[in-house]
Amino acid sequence: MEEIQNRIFERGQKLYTINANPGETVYGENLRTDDNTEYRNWHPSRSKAGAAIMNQVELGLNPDDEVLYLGAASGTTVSHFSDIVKGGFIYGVEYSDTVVRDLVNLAEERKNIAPILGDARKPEDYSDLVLGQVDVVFQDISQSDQPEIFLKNAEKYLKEDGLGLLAVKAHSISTSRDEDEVFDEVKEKLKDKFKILDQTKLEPYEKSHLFLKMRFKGEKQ
Amino acid sequence: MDKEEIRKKALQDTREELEELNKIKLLMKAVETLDRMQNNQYKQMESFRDWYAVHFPELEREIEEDDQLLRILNSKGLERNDLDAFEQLREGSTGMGLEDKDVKILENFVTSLQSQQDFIDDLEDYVREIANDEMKNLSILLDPILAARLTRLAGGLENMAKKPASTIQMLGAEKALFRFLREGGNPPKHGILFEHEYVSPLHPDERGKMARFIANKAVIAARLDQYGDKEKGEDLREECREKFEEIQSK
Repeated sequence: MEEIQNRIFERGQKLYTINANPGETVYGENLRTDDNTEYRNWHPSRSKAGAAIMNQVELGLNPDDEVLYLGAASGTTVSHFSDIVKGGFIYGVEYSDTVVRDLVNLAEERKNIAPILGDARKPEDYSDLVLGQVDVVFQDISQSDQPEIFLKNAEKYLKEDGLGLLAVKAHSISTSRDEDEVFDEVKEKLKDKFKILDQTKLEPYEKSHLFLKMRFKGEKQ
Repeated sequence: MDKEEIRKKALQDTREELEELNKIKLLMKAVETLDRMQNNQYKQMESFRDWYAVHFPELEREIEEDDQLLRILNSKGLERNDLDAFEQLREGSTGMGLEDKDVKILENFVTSLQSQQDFIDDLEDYVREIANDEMKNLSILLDPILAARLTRLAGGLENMAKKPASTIQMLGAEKALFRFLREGGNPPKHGILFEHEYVSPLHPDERGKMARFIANKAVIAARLDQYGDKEKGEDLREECREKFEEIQSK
């Protein structure tokens, strides 16, 4: 196992994180033990963050980070984040009650996840749970107003110089326009508040997706 | 609060919300299942007819209603010789004779189709009842089954109450709508609202106008069902009827 990023490992073209809940799998991924440590295989085709890492994005998560995760779904990617930010915490916001059930079960087993059934368009709805500011806002929501949702949450919860990670799906924003045009428009909307550190398309794992890694400028301009 | 308390609170809040009885959610599941089962039933009935026609094609062709065919075969048996009421049809039948084994399996098929049909009927009654209770205005305006279908497509009554009428008009026509946005051509006139009794009888050129009108009224009905007066359904329906007659008489 080679640690290619903070607590993210690679072996034979496959990604792994250290299983924080040994013996248990979350979504049918393979487990593998190496030097008495159990690792979970991270499928890039099941996770946009995983796809980004495979495409050489340096995620920039630290073990003690607090993460506001928008679009947590059933917790596939969240579980790997939970492995990575071992001493940190993840607020997982999900709108659909069907998939949030799996997230609840995940959070029962892992101490660093808080499942929130709520609408990311209304960040004030979870202000009783997300106290203070977070180090990272991650978003994977296929909605046409996804940059606006991202900005709203960052402005409310992300600390200055915090990290913004955003998976943009061109087809959710427009099915008729060229994807690069859509991506440019999203970046334009974000650039007042964020400095873009990295932008990577997620092919071949996801079609028409752009992964943005950004630094939050906060209130200082 | 430390992190453990936050996690506990988040878990508790989320669990409470998931566990709370929500009739609209149940309604959406029920109507989705109803449509799927109904569809299935048509297909199975088609297979059955095709099979049964080998033995008694004249009867299969004569009785066009699936319900009726099932009832006859269920009560009288499905062998030609047992169906005295259809003596004329049976004379000179071109159908193949069957052995006991062949009859038995077809009988099982009929029984299974009948019991599925009974369940579908129960399910439809259930959907009607819940839709009437939970969204009275919309059920009166559209008919309870259509109201339930539309609500499911909109993602719930509350969501529907918050959507613009133009979106409601297109629900169920997503494929055509996105094709139009991507490739041009003509935009769809209606989605599932086509099923409304004031839309489908009209000439195709007039349906868009009527669907737009009903979509407007449907959003009003949904908003009233969610937030206001539950007794406006008849008024809204009357407005639609007048519009329908106006268009029809042109």
